[in-house]
Amino acid sequence: MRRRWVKGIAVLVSVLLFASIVSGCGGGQKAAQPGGQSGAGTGGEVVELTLWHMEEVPQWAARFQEVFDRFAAANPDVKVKVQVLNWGTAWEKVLSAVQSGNQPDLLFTIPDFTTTVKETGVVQPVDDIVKELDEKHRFLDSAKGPFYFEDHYWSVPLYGMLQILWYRKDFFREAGLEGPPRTWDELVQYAEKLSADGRYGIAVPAGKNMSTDQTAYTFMVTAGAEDLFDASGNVRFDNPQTVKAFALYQRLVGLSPPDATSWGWSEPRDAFFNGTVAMAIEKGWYLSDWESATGKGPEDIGAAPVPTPADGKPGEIYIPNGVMLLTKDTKKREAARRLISFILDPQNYGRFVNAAPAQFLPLTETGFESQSWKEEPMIQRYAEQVQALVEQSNHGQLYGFSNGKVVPGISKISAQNLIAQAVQKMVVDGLPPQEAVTWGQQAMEEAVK
Amino acid sequence: MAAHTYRAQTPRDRVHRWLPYLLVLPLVVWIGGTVVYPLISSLLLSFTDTGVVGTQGEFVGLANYAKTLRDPRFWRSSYLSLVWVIGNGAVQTLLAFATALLLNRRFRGQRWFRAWIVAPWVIPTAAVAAMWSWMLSGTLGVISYLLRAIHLIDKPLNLLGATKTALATTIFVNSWHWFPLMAVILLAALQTIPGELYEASAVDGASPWQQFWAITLPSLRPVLNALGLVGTLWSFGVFDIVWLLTKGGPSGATRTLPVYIYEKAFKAFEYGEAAAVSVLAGLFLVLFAFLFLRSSEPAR
Repeated sequence: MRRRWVKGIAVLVSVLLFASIVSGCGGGQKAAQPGGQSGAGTGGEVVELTLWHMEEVPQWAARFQEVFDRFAAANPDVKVKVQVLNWGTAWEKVLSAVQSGNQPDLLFTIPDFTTTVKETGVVQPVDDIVKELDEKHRFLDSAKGPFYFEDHYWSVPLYGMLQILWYRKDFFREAGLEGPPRTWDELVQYAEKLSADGRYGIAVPAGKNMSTDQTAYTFMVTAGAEDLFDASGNVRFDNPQTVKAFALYQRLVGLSPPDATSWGWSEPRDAFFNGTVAMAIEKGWYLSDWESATGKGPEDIGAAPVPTPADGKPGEIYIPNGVMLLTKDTKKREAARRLISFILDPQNYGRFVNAAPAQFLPLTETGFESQSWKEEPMIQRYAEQVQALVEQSNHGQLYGFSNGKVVPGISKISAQNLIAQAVQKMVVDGLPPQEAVTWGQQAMEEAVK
Repeated sequence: MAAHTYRAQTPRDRVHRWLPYLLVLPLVVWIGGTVVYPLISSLLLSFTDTGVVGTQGEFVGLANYAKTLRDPRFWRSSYLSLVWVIGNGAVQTLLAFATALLLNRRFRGQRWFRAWIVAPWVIPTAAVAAMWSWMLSGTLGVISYLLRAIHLIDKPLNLLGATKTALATTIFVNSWHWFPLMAVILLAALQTIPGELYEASAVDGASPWQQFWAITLPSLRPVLNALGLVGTLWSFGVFDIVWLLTKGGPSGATRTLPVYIYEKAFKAFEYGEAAAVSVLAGLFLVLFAFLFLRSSEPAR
């Protein structure tokens, strides 16, 4: 009798386990709904928007969440469900999610990521939303341009990021240097003069990463080599201007700490803060920890345009961040339009952009003028440095998206960090600048063919 | 001739007959879904020109295999993987053996050491990578700072950023992370060797060195064989710590096959080719496992 009971329970457990596996598989199908056609929000129900963004720094994500919560409070018929990823793993996570039908409804993006995700066929054009918001708030050309290709806007711009030259004013005063360097020659001279007593004049990253891509590209822009492609879409990385920029970069790596060949975002900043280096080229996030890390104030940190060659022009990398729509559901689309409109409204926009003050910059005219952005204490305290960033916003370029031309194959170049790899060929393998650039040209041609 | 009598099957008989199948069915479904399906899916994918993950590719036959076999980066990565596996095997075996032999002796604090020796193993890989990245940093790290303080070096170290040292450094960090597991297994095996063998050999005048070669090592052979096989397969597939420490750099110096496959799939967006490399790597590992098992069979 007891054995029969045991067997009976075993069969029951077995069937339940089997059922749970089968239902688990079914669950995957159900989860596909957020990005699919059907879903919540029909017939006056609450519309649930799933949103993924990649700003993983806790305080940044918390400020974003505040804005989403305020939107939800003002729009009880829309629920925003947020998931935070990071840029390091965004490509594989998002593409895998798309493959399994589990993509979000809204996905934060940068231009080259947009071209990659668009290839999967789930990204929806947002021309109507961009047009409406452009009329209302006036986007910067450098912000909306990179999201327009194949006759449509594929993302609504939300905030911009750009690089600038950061310099330690206290070290400059000690060395008797007045003001930041304006030209490449001055940059090298200043870096040499500031290199003393275990201190390095400058830190430029040379690891295989996006930080190196962006910093090297910034010098390419100032040399006039911002276009990676010609008008026909052919790679034109190998040109005299790029070689010139690479030659300078080689020089600057030589004036950087020896382990700069493995550096990315954080190391130059840490070295800048602890006084190991006197200059660095990066985005606005240096301001957020400056005082807490160094105990110094605005009088000791300077921000200036990236130096240019004598025959060059002002410029640097500018990265607009936007949001893509990955659902065809009309109710969700309308809810998304309301959410984006809420974010870009000058009353809310400052709170959103100031999730990372000075790192994220407004990219609409109304945003720059908004009190909600200007009233942030850090923006006020570091007005001089922020102003330098704002002034540079109009000179920004982005590789693969420069001067209104977008070549979708750029995502393969940027995802593989081919500019950084070419830099490494020069500073790690010891190739002369021309040969490193030629290597880069071949690698890029191979990537986009 | 004996006559067989059959009786009609009762419901109880039917339950008896199907019960074993019912009991293993969930496991079969689970294995089918998590092992067999991905394997077949990867194999099919390797015959297509699928680019971005999530898009549809067209059938291209063996083109991905041909391209992979012609690609010098594939062979370079295969070589680096070989160095990686051998390096990890050697360093981990050395560290684990030394640790296990030490912990098998009686000394003050032995229990404490036995408990804490597993610490590197239980630390998450991401934390291990972050910790060592910081310690190894030339400008900001503690190792370089200390070496400079005692005047052993005059400029910052650049272990992860130089082609000559990056792979060896990464092997060391990975070995530091994993050797405690091997040490614990070896320690457990050491404790199964009867003490009488050592006592008898000591009476016969055997030195500790002779005891090691004649008693310890042969006794551990089954465990070492198992560790050799599992450790090699495991080590071959390590991706996380390499990626976190060097991203395959500098200049490809640590681009092992898993890194190469990852870059193909998620950086170069050549998903079909990445699948082909995975299949080739899988075949290589199956061949290795077969040869290893054959060679480690005891002589008849």
